[in-house]
Amino acid sequence: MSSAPWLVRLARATRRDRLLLAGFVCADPLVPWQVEVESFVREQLFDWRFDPHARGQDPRLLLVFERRSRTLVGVAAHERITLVARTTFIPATQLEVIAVAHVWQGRRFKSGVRASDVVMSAVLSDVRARVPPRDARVLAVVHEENVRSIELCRRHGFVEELSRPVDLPQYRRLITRHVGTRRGR
Amino acid sequence: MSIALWPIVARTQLVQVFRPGEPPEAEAPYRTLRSHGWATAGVSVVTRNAGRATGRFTLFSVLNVAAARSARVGDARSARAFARAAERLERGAGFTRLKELLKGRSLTTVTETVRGGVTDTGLELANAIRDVARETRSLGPSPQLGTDLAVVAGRIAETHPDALVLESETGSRMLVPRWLAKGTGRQAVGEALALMTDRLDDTQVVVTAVAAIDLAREKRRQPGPFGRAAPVRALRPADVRLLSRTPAPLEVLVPVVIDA
Repeated sequence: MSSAPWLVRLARATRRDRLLLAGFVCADPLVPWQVEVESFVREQLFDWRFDPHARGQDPRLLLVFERRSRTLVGVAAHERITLVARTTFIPATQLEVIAVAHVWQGRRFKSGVRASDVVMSAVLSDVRARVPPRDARVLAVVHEENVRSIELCRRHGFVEELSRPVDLPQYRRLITRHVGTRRGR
Repeated sequence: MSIALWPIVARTQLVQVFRPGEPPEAEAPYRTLRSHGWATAGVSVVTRNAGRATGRFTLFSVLNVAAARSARVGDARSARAFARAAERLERGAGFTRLKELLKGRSLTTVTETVRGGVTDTGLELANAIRDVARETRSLGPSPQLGTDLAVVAGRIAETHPDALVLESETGSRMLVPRWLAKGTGRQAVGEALALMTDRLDDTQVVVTAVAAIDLAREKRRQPGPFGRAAPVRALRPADVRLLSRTPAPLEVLVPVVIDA
């Protein structure tokens, strides 16, 4: 049993966890893209995770708590996806959402570790541990003004960047490190 | 009410409404509708694949469906009125814009668009369809189609293995078999869907699922980065070149144990 000041577990298909997410606060109400994150967590994330038709994508939803108070510190979700270019299909994992509760943003646990680093480490640990193994490409879609999240992603190895989505040009697509020269054909 | 029927249809839908049970690809029923002025000629779009023209696809204003139904129940006057209204719409700016945006697209894209799926084709097309839907609605309250046709339009509120729950704007809920909604491409929570129940006679009814569209000016009209329909997975050639390199092992900065 970990003695870390945080506790990480998977979300459960229970009313309790649904209500927990429904009450999650992470946004400055004056910042639209933050409100969008919060709305997704509160209104859609639970159904996203437990959609029976999404089982093939292996969706995962992690909840991070402060161990002592059992306060919800952050949520993180990911699933298997396929990136597509005409007839090219590239498997990857997408971080559907990473969100830190408003009261925990910019804060550290008593051990000195950033709350955001714990949330991100939790989700990447989970991706790494999946069976069957996931392709080690992880995609994060981040609003261009979300400086904190962009920095968080960079700290955790999201150092490459894809083109911006055509229909969402205000969002950046950060992806984990790739090495070497072009491989294959 | 902000949710309206998908404003464009294919010829097969006119035939299905005019002659339920007959093959929807049959040409004779459509010729009958045309000869009586109960259907328009539609708007023809040239489809292409890899730059080569592959044919034409004709799309129609949804008012042609109302015309076809009126014709079926013997109300020729209403049928002609609906067809004339449809023709005005098809000659208008909305359809002209739609035709421009669909021109040169693949047959698959055009048929998907007519069916109700525009998630991969961009905001501009979705907005053009929304404009056509608004124009359709702006023609005034739907002429009375009698008491034999019921239309429930709303959003999918829940999904289950075999069925969806459609919640109307008035709050009523109805169960829709998943196989019935499948043809509309609408099966996810939040998507707009309509169910039309059409009485054929005292013992028969036809239930049709059709795509719907939200006309309201809400944030959700713009696609967001969340959810499985988010437009964030398409790649450009430069992206493919980047991703053709070897992904490095994931970096985990903080050791974390995930409790079961």
